[in-house]
Amino acid sequence: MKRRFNYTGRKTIPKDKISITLNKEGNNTKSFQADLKFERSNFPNNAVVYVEAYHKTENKRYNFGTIWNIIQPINTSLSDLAYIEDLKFRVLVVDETSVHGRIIAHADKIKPVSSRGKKSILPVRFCDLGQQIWRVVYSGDEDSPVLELNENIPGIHIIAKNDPQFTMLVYPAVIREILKHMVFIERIDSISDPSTEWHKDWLDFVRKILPNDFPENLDEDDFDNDDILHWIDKVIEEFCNNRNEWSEYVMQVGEG
Amino acid sequence: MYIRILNKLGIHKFKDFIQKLKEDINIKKPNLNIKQYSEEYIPQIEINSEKNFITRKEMGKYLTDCFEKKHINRADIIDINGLWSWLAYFWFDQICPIRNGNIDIHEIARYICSSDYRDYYRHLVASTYDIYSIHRSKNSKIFLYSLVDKSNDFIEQFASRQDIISNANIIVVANQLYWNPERDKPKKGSESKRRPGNIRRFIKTIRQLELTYDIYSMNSSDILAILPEEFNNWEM
Repeated sequence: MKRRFNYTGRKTIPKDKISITLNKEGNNTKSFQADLKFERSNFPNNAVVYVEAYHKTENKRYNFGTIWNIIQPINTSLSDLAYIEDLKFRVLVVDETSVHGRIIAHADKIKPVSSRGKKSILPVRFCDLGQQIWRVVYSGDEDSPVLELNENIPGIHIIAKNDPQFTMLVYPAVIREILKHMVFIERIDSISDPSTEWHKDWLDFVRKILPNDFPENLDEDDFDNDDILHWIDKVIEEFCNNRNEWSEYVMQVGEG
Repeated sequence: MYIRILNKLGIHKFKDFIQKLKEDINIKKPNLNIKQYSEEYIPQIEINSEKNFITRKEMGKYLTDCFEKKHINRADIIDINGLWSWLAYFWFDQICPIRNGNIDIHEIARYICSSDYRDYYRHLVASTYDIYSIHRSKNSKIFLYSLVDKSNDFIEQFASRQDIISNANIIVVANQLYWNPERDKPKKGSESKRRPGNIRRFIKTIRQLELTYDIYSMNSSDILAILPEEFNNWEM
């Protein structure tokens, strides 16, 4: 596992200790409730707990009392925030006994309970990409990958789902791009328990495609680039081998 | 004229016009103020087609006043990308002017408002309103001093870091450090990559301090007090 130094001494609050629920009226989100479980934490009793709702340039802070006495504020209204649908939350435990408040623990990028559930590891967004057919952007939760497809292509929604040519040409390239980004740009801090959730999802996905040959040194600093590129090639090769669309693709090409 | 919202077809047409303009400077701006391409924003908000802006700050103030007169909250409009794209279309002659027979067309995100936050701040109208409506006249000046068709390094460096641009106290500190009230411009060298305590260093330092300190609850003097020595010279 890659060694990381935490000079700040700041602790990470496990996300299973936090549960955020949105209160809705019809389809409109009005406020939220936070269930925070700090009973067995070693944080000082007088440390102050804040919950922040944020998205884009919007940020609103709510005081939830102290570790000793966590209180849901009367007003957790979200109505003055612009981007309610994609809101995320962070929880901070702050030691305010010195002149400047020090963050002693935090949890970030928490999604409300209602928007969790089964998720795709590659959400698709349809948008105007000029004359590009597709691109991968890293704008999901924790900068996870999102596949953007050009909405100006007639029938692109159906093509993306059902067209064997699209499947055989685009998805292998997409997977290759994401694996390279994850391994070489973002870097994986642990192959068994990565701190970034989407890394875990993608490693699980890759393990299903190619159960053997998993590079056990992927989370180390000194892996051989060529070995990893070769492993990615094998993952893509196996992904393609498993696709039933291949014969249809060949037939379509043959028919011209 | 009342503010309108471009629909998908309108945005496509506007983009097409911008692309064609690169090849033919004399091409006529299409009429997108018809139902096929746009619809009126409700409640109606009148804007002055004759209004000319010199700086982006003037535009930010004008738009903020227009919306506030009608009691429209920032939260109600900030993510209506078709509205910002229409305003860019409406004021296109100003935000993409022809100077000495030449037109300087930049990336499309300056004119067509993107929902991707990494591009949103590039939009010349949306980001102008976004910044002005948060920081108002006094503290938006460091970002919006530029001519109405120009971006600047302060916007590029700050506005893409959303938690930083939205923190009023950090922006007060940035103004205190880097704004020269006599020149009515940023201090010389603040955008330099080499000079100690430049704006890139400022953002990097704030990022580091945020790991330890509860910056959100600190006022501008508190933030100034914990900045390292390299920023001392800028306080003068």
